[in-house]
Amino acid sequence: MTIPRALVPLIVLGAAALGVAAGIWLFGVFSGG
Amino acid sequence: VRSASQPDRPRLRDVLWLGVAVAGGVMCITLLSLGMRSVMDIGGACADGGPYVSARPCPNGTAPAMFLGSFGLFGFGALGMVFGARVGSPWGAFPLFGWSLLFGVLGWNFLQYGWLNPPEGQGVELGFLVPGIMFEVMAIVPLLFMASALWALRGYRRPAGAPSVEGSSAPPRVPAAYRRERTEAVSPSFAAMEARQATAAAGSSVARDPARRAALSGIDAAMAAALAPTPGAAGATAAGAADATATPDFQEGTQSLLDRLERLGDMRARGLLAADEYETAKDAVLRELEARE
Repeated sequence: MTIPRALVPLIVLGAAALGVAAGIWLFGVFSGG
Repeated sequence: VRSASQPDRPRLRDVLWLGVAVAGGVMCITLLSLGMRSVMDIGGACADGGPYVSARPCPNGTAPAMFLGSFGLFGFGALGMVFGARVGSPWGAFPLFGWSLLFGVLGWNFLQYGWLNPPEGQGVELGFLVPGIMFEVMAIVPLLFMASALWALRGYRRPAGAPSVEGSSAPPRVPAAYRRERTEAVSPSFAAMEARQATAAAGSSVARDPARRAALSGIDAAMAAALAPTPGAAGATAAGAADATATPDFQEGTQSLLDRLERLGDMRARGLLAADEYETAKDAVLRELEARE
């Protein structure tokens, strides 16, 4: 299955935002908060 | 491998893996940044483990955050490069931005704690300010290089079906003018050889070299004998073309003229004849050939 190339930057941006959220959540888990 | 009918549509699977890599990389940088801030909150240094009781134990969670953050970056970076390359230009190079993001974010932490917003009762802290500036330089300079590379590649899209750089065995096409310039720069003898050939073509070296002049006069004598009209040729012009060209004598004479042309070419190639000498001799032979036809 293929997707239009124009969607790639959107997916990458979304993934980056998701990564920030995951990092904050995981740090909370690590520090027992 | 991209489908030939849809060369410009990346596969969803590759894009999703690129997304996983980007999310993972950003997560690692976030963990590193948060871990760093929690350590800077207690003064910038801490210690855990070992036989002694540390005066300043590390805040909870710093150790796993730093461990996962630093080692995870390598894994997600590699993942991003592999699947970025599959998605196509310029996504293969995208994970390199992680370097600038990492040093930009950590440098920002240093600047904030050491200069912009120092903890209560603390002024500008050089120990934080200097690495902060250094990290920002390390983040921004590669960005400038990448920006110029992207600018140079603007609008570039590999044509459908063309091999990728890594898959291509053919050397890149280099403009002839550039190749020539490089050859001369790399090998001065190439330019010197061309100059020698130009001199030889002008025919001026003959007069300066007695040995060569003697050799050439021998050749001249041989040429004169060779160019003397053969009886067969004279007979051909007198008797008319139609009958004469069919005689074995005539064909033999033509063949010997062609042989002479070939020998002249050899002598020219070996440097025994200068360009104008060769032309003169060749013209003489050709004239005789024409006279026979």
